[in-house]
Amino acid sequence: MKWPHFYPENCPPPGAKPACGKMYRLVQHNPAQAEDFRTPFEENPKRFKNRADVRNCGLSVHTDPQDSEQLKKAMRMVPRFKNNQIAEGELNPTLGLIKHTPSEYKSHHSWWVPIGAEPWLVFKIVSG
Amino acid sequence: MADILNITGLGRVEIVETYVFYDQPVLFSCKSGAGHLYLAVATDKNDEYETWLYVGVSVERLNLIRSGTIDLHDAFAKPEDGFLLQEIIPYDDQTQPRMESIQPDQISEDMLPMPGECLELEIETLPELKDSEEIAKYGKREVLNLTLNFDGPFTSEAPVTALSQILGNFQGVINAIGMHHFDLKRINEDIKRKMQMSFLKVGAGSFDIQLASTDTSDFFESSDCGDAIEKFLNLLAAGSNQEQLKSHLEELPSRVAKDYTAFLKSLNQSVIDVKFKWVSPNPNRGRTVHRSDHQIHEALEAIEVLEKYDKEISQPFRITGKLTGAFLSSKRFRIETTDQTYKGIITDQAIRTVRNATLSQNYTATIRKITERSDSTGNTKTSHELLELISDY
Repeated sequence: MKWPHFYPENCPPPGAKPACGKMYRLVQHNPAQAEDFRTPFEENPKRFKNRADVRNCGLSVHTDPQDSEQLKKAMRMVPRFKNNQIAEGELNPTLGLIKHTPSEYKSHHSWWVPIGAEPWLVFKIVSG
Repeated sequence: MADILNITGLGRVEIVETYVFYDQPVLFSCKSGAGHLYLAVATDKNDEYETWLYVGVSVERLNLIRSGTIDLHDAFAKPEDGFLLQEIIPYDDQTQPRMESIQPDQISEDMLPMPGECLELEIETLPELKDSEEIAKYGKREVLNLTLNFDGPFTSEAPVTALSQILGNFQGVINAIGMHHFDLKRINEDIKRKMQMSFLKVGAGSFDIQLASTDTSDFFESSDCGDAIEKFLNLLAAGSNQEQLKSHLEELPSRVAKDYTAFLKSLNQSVIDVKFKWVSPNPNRGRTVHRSDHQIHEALEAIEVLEKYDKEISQPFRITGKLTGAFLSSKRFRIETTDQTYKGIITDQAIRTVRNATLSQNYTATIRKITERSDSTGNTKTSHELLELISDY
């Protein structure tokens, strides 16, 4: 698996497993587009003083549909997400590595996507 | 590891708490280098730039926001200072990010959290964390609860000297393990900072104390201090089992064995039993180890056996070189020949000749080499004994 050139050493981190199973993610477009799967570092390296780390190179997804309710609350609290939608996709190992990184969403996972993967093709909007 | 951001106009800020994380912290409180608190939120993103809002908050107001008394909309729409800060970060490489001060009436509603949306944190105020699990989970710190049962009439009290020795020696072991963790030969200030345990409180009842790592764990809930605590508890749990002790010590520098011995001695001299309960931010880590005075004594004996050095003393031999060091009070010497430096102890039989010697002059010395090898770590130490010193003039 080839990782983007800006990934630092140890990224994806030890313990990350092949992506697999149903995942949910916030997206801006319907249908989901490549832009919806850009990492914070790719989008705006300046915010991180051009320093990539394991966090800003990962994407957030969650596995438990119940966490979508918590995510909907986040959409109301964070203006940037007001017009976003929740998309559902079935991941497979060609789409990268994931690691369970619980936050305010218990089933939150971090996801590292390799070069050449097209995850937007497997995600479909399930709720607005 | 604390989250540090570089924000235009605010400089280097440390994230205090993240309330919403999605790809990155998108709603959080942070503190500037000068100690000012801000509440920050991601407001907009388009093809050209992204926008963030920051509002200065006092501790009291932040607590009201955290508890939900003030909703997130009003937290930004009615700033204490009467203004907010808006950061615009363009995506193109040529344009620099900019921060501008704006009045609340300049912000459109779609740039604000929806009215009525509140943080509903279980902990209503900032730091005041009490329970170990809460400190570990919300504070992202490694927590160690020590129950020390001292030999004395008052079970809820502790003799000051014994307590300071136990805690000092415990920190010494953690620092020494940290030195290995960072692959360094000496403990420096950075290691001390990363490994530093802080005293949080004394519990009620028997003599319980609570310590916590000063450094916080990272996003993946691991911390350097947590790694060191794990290795320390492995040693303690190994008790007097020499094979286990040896296997744990072999992967650590010899200093750990020395410091761990000192720690066990401080326990051995004062407690009837001891319990370490480790609570980690990582739910897969943490353990409890309990040791009685008998077990501590046995562990000490076992490690002392392991720490014994096999000593090998060579036949005396002669060297000729310059006397470059002679310290009578500590009985140490140093002689440099053309290809080697010999240093070590001045024996009693040689002390008189050294007393009359002159530094930087050439001498013929009779010495012997002493090689010591540690059973536990396999490390060898070489030194010399000076038996006689004769002037070449």
